[in-house]
Amino acid sequence: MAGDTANCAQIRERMLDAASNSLSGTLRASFDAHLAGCAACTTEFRRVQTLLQAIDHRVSASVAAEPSPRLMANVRREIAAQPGRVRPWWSRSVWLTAAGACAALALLMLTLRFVHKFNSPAQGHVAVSIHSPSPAKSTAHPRLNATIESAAAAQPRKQAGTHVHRLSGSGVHQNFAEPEVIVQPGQMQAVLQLVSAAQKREIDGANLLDSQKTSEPFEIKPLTIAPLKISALKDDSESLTSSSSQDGTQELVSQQSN
Amino acid sequence: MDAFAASRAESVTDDASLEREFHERLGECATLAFRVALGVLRDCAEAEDVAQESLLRAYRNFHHLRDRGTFRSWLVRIAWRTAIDHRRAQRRRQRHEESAARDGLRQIISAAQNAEELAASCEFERRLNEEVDTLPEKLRIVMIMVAIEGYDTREVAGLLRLPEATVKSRLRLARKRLAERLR
Repeated sequence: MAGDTANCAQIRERMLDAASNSLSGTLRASFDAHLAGCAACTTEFRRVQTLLQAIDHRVSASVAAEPSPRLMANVRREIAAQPGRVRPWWSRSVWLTAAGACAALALLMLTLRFVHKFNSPAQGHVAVSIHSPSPAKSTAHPRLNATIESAAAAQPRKQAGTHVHRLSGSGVHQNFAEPEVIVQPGQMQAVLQLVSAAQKREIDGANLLDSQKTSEPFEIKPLTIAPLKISALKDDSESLTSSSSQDGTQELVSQQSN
Repeated sequence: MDAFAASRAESVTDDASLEREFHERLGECATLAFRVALGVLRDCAEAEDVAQESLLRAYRNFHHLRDRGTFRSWLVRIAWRTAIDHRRAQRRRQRHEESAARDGLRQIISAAQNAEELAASCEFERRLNEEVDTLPEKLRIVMIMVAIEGYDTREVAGLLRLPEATVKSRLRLARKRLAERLR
């Protein structure tokens, strides 16, 4: 009896597959054989079949309705109310396409300008960019231009609040890069005077830059130490006499005083 | 100016042919869009609203459709998504109704003489609709599309761009899940 109950449970698990005709040949044969001898499972199987048929019937009925003629009339009226919407405005004319492209380009340039402005120097400092011509030009027409950007207009950066003088660029005459110096507000007057003098040709800006040679290392001369000479020591007990040998080493000679 | 005028004339001709083509397809496919929406919403008036919205959306984006042969499939997807969105908005507005006891439905299923009688039961319809709504979308759309008159698994596979075997297995799985929950 226990074996029959277990068999019934297995058969009931397969009922949905059997009702959907998705059982394989062997399983279907054993399923049918069990139903032939089990009234309870037969009743349950009929119930499952009815349920599945009702599901199909109900779902089909739910989508069997026809739309009213009002639907088409409304759609046609709405389409008529918005003429020319099948194609977008930008694909209607070559000129409009070109205008759109120009607008996109202008927007891109504005964005780039904004990004450049965002990367400007720290608040509280003044950025001074000194434009120096190439060496060939500087010898013929030495010139010094200066561009001063207001600190108030500049966006704050990570270094804001620090008192660091920053020199960027690896050398004017090597890579023709522009040196950028962050100047503290108190020193701005001096920088303005320097720029003004350069613009009035009172000083030679190109030679001034050449004389700085900030990228070159300092020349350190070898250190020489003069030989030490001690002629006499005024000591009662002993006196020390120092004499230098040929190779410059120092010798200390102790003499006993009489 | 000649180039401009030619471009303009060509553009107008293209517009006219696009309009004509869309109107030809509109007659064929309006019922399909309505039935897809009805399968989700189960209300004719709402389904008509959604079908109208879907058709207008299709009209506005018709120029984006490169392969015009896929219009029906494209429209089915638009109608399905629009109906699902509409259903979600509707659900947020409505209060959640408590489902009936499972035992009640079991008695109804046992007492029904045949499938038609059971399908006609209001309680069965209500419970079935609830369970259909809980099916995963990929099972639900197959179930509803196959239920639409005139669409078998092969046609539904073409519309949903799926292999027919996938459509069949999803349909079988959807029916099995519904039956398990309603049993």
